[in-house]
Amino acid sequence: MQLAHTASASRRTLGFTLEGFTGREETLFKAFVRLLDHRTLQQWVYRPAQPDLRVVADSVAPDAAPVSASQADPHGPLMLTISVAPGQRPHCVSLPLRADELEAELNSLGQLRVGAANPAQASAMPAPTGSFRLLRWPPAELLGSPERVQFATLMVSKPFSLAGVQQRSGLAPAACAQFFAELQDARLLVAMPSGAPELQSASAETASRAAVAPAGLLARIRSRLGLLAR
Amino acid sequence: MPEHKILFTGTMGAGKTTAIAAVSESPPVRTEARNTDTEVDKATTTVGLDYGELTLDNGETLRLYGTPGQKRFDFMWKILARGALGVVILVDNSRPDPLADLDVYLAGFKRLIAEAACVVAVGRMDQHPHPDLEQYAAHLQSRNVLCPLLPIDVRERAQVTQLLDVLLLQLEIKAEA
Repeated sequence: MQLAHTASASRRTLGFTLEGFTGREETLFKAFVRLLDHRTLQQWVYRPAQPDLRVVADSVAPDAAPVSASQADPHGPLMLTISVAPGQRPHCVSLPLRADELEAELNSLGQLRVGAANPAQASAMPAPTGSFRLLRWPPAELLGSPERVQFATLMVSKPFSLAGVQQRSGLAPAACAQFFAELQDARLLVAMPSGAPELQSASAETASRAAVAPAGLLARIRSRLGLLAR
Repeated sequence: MPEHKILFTGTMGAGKTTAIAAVSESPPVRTEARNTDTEVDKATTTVGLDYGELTLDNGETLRLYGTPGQKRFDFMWKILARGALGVVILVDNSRPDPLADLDVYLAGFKRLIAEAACVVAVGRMDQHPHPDLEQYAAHLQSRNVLCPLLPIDVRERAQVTQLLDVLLLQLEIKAEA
């Protein structure tokens, strides 16, 4: 099996440090990060020595450019500002903390960090090509969100290329590529022979049965259950 | 009017009745009787089937059937499986050998699983974490069954709805082929 890997093929452990917070605020922030651990693309741990990310209260650095450290030194720590007032600055979240905002920032900064650490690898490694099928249902630790469950369900149903599953799932390309790479790393994907149709029917019997579901039926069931159309 | 149906199957006490009640638009019709199986701490059990339904916006009805749990009623399984859109297999992880339980339903609904769609949902994992989902995934692979596998609390409507979501998603992909 020949599998190409993307730059962010595995979930990295990245360290962060906290500056300018009270003990209670530090505890709260660490608890947030732990709660989000199953959702973030990288694993974040509190590591005061040689951090990848400085999380800074804006009372400490109110005018700091958020990623200035990284711009000066690509391998220096990135910066996330925690502000008491909402603002439009990049890489800044406001208090009170919101899990979705923090998750988005951690993922964004984590990708920046991983990309900076492996620039040669990132440019040299092509995205996976061809169609792949899932060998087995992925471990729970890879399925941290409903979106990933849907992604895996798509790949349960038919072999897909990365581009195909991105198109069908409607998920962000980066999120798709990340999950695809994690599945590859876990050796859960097998490449289909070249020339095989991407949406290859499991069997003629399956196709004929699936055709029994009248057009629109599945959408009507979804609508009745309050599920968004896929 | 065409009939559309989805099945919920699994061992006695796995939560089929509760799962159907979570999404049915009316209280499910239950055919229960006194439980005589002393291995299961349950006063009554489903000896026939459970039935719930959802009315779709074009007036058609989606019927939700809960199969009788015990294998001695497996003659009912084939009757219910005929023409079904898919099956949700509910496994009770507090039972002595839940993987063996799963095998019973994989065999009993083999044709429906191959031809339509299937989801395996494991309940009571919070208090009975073993076997874990990894063992279930390996077990399904050893049986050549590839389908979504999720933990479940059937009392939570959102979780039951998610099961149906992934079931429908499989059908949609197959229909696109």
